[in-house]
Parts: sequence; structure tokens; C-alpha cells
Amino acid sequence: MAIEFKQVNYLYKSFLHENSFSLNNLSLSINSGEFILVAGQTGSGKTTFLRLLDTLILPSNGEINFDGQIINNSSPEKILMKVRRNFGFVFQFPQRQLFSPTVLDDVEFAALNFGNNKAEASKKAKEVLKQIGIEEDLWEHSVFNLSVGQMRKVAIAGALVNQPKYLLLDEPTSGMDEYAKNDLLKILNYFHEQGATIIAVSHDINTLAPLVDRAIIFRRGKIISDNNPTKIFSKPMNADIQPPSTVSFARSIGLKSTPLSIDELADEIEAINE
Amino acid sequence: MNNIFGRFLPTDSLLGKLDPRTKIVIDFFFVIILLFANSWLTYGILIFFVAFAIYCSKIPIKVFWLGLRSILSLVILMMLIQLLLTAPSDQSDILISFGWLRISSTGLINSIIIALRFFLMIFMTTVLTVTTPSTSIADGISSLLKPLSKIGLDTKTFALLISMTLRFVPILSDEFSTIVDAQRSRGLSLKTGSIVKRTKTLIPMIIPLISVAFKKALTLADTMEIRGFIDAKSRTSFHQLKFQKIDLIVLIIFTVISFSIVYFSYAKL
Ligand SMILES: Nc1ncnc2c1ncn2[C@@H]1O[C@H](COP(=O)(O)OP(=O)(O)O)[C@@H](O)[C@H]1O
Ligand SMILES: [Mg+2]
Repeated sequence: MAIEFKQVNYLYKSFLHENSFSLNNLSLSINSGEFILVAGQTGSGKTTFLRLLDTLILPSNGEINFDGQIINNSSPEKILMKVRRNFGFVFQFPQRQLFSPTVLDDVEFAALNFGNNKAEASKKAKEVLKQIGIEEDLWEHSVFNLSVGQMRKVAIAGALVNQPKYLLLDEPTSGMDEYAKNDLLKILNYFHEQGATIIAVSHDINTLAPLVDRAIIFRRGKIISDNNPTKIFSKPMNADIQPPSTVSFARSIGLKSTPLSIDELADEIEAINE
Repeated sequence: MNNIFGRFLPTDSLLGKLDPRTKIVIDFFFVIILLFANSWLTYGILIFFVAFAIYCSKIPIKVFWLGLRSILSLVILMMLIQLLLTAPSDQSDILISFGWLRISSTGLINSIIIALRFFLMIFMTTVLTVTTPSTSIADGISSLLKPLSKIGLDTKTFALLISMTLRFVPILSDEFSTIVDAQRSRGLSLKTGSIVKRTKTLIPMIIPLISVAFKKALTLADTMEIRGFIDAKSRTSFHQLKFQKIDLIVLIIFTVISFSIVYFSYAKL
């Protein structure tokens, strides 16, 4: 067991948002090596869940156990930094976090903050830039002159530079075309194979459902299902989550099974024909 | 030049091109925002902002020092009052004591803050007055006060401004907390390190925020232009005031700065 939420509540207090929102009584555990999809309607608390995982916000009540390190409402910054260095967080529009004069500087940022010296940080940054597929002649370029797609890759590299044990992604495929999605999936698969635990919030069920081994569905701050995707999508549809289009298609032609990818669907159809 | 304070110096600067109303509104709200500042971080942002405004005005810094000199004695007097009248919070707070005279570190900090507030206020006002001819300032003020004197006048524009602000503040607030989160997730810590190091942490937060605000402002300005809002009004005054795209952008950037001050003075980071 790697991360365990014990009756975690989180309440937003804000003078800008009229309605107060809370995550209620969250208890779950996340095992290392899992690839998890987090889904649910807008405003159901998915991003809040990721922020709790990265200790960017602390539980109002309850506690979270990170590999033995207990975090609660009164945990000091020093401990949080220790937990946080195990996480890489890719935000919905990661390109918006860029600020450094060059690509390399921006990717080094997290490595330097988490205690590497300049030489180590530079080495790690170059390594991850190569893995992500940013060509060497761009490393000294200004981040602000890149295309949006390249910016996003640089920002993802910036989140992965410390070889985090846990990778958090918030709507990673939003605004991406199919090529960019494929690129991203390759990167995710690569890090997953390296042993990283991946937790991805996404509406893009078609893209992610075939890859993940677990899906967690939120509704108004509560978890309403937590199971493997085949089990979840074999149940009748509800308003919280659209099943993959392969499942909808299978239903419409009267199949009882739950194919999560085109390949699975093709196999099903072939099996019928034989 | 005996009193530079309030004297117009023509330059080809960006600030010279702004609508006087933009600058008046910013000056007015700057004074209010100044009251919100309550930490090294919030003062840091305001100092950044004022320094940037001075830079954009293309006015030599000497001019600002001259402006400051005329009120320096007043500021020193205020500092002394703070210094002598602030009671130490406890024994460890006392820095120096001479008989009944006790100077505390709280008092020292308070008096420095007073001076800082004055300086920032004077600098901002100087930026307004040296980049704007006094006739434009007068026109600007009367134009701004018009809706108040004649109820029902130009309600459309007024309503639009209010609704734009109401829409922009929450959007920028969410953008900003995401940016702050993103940098914190990359190990940026606002709570550790020396003052210099902490002030440096502003850069990774403010640069992306301004870049986002800028893009949003540009889109908004274009949308308004397409719909024929900007420059669509015919003015009959002899001194024509022109609210342009650049004014909108500057106002939005100021909104961003104001927001970050309010945010940082309340947020528990
Ligand atoms: N900083 C905040 N202050 C107050 N309320 C917030 C804040 N951020 C999010 N919320 C509210 O919390 C709820 C859940 O938000 P979020 O976790 O971002 O949902 P999701 O990512 O599933 O769309 C929303 O209703 C939102 O309005
Ligand atoms: Mg979200």
C-alpha cells in the first residue's frame, strides 16, 4: 500500500466563490504502480482530489498516509516538501506555468527546488527532455517562442524532471489533436513501465479507458464508484460518466460485453462471425 | 525646477499614450490596494508594479527623487511618531531603551511600512502627473465623475465595465491559484529561505499570470473591437479622450496585480 486516505474532508473557504464546496469523507488507498482514471462531472471535486494528493492543500479533517508519512491539517511545510518531491503534477494548461528565459532553465526548476545542484539538475533536465522528445536545438530557446504543443511538452518535462514516483495529470488531453494525444500516451506508458504510479483526471474516456486498471468516479465531492473500467462501464450508463464509444457501439448492436478499445471491439465482432 | 511634483514632462512613453482616465482610476485604486498589503510578498508585488510603471514612463528616476524630497520631512515625522508611540508587545520586542523611551522592533517595522506606503503612493501619483498634462487630468476627472452627477448617463458603459470586472476577477483568481499551485508542485516554497530568496519566488508566479492576463485581455479587446464598442462613441469635447485597446490591457494588468495583493493578503499558502 502506498497512499491511504482516511476519512478525509476538504472544505473550500473563499470569498470569491459563493457556494462552499467540500470533498466528503474520502477513504481509499492507492497502490504503487497503478494507472488510475479519475472521472466525473465538472465541479465534482476531481482537481481538488489531485491537489490533496500533491499536498498543495491539506485535509480539513482526516489524514493521508503517504508511504508511512502521515499528513494532516497541521503538517509543516518542511514535511510537505518531502512528500511533494515524490509527485509530478501536470496541470490542465501546463504551458501557463512557464517563466524561465530558456527551455532548459524551466525544466531544471523543480530539480533545483528539490535539492539537486545545478549540474545534477541540468543532467536530469536533459534526460527528460530527450525522453519527451524535445530536440536539442530548442533547449536554449526562449519558452515563449515555442508552439503551444512544444510548450506543453516542456511543461510536462518540468513535472517529470525529478523522476516522480507518482504522476498526477489534470485533463492531460484537453485541446490536443490525435497526434499529440498519441505522443502523450506513449510518454505516459513509458513512465508507467518505469514503475510510476499514474493518476489522470480526464473526460477523454475513449483515450484513457483502455490503458487504466482502475477508474474512480466522483459525484458532488463523493466517490460513487471505484473499480476496474470493464466493471464500471458494464453497468448501465449514468449522467456522471460517458462510457467509451466502443461500449456504446457494442450495446447498440446488442453485444453484452464491454470492449474498451477498438481492438477489443473488433475481436468481439470477429468472435460472433466465426 | 523647484517642485517637480505634478509637472508634466512630454515623452513618447507608453504611459503618455494612455487615456488619462485609465491612469486616474489606477492611481485611485492603488491607494486602496496599498491598504491591503500586509506582508513582504504583497509589498514586493507593489514595489515591482511601481518600478515597472516608472520604467514605462521613460522619466529619469531623478525626477522621482526630487518629487519625494518635497515631502521627505513629513514622512520622517510620521516615522518618528510610529517609532516612539508603538508599545513593545513583550520584553523580547524591545530593541533600545533609554529611561522612558523604548524602541521596539514592532515600532521599527511599522515605521518602515509607513514610509514605504508613502513612497509608493508618491511615486504612483508622480507617474500620473508627469505623464499627463493637467488639462487632460481635469478632463479625465470630470469625465469619470459625469455618471455620478447625472444619474442615468452612460449607464451602458458603466454596466459593461462592472460586469467585465466581475467576470474577470474570478477567472483570473482561478488562473492565479492554478499558477501558484503549479509552481508549488515544482517545489517553489513561499515559506522558507531568506528575504531575497522569497522575493525571487515572485517571478515564477507573476510572469505567467501577466502572460495569461495579457492574452485574455487581448482576446477581449479584439472581441470588443469587432463588436464596434471601442472608439464607437463620438465625443464633442474639445479635448478628446480616447479609450483604446492599450487602456483596456493596462487596466486588466492592474486588476491582476490588485487581485494578487488581495489574494496574498488572505490566502493561506
Ligand atoms: N479555490 C476555490 N475556492 C472555492 N471553491 C472552489 C475553489 N476551487 C474549486 N472550488 C469549487 O469546488 C468544486 C470542485 O472543484 P474541482 O475540484 O475543481 O472540480 P473538478 O476538477 O471536478 O471540475 C467546484 O464546485 C468549485 O466551484
Ligand atoms: Mg478540474
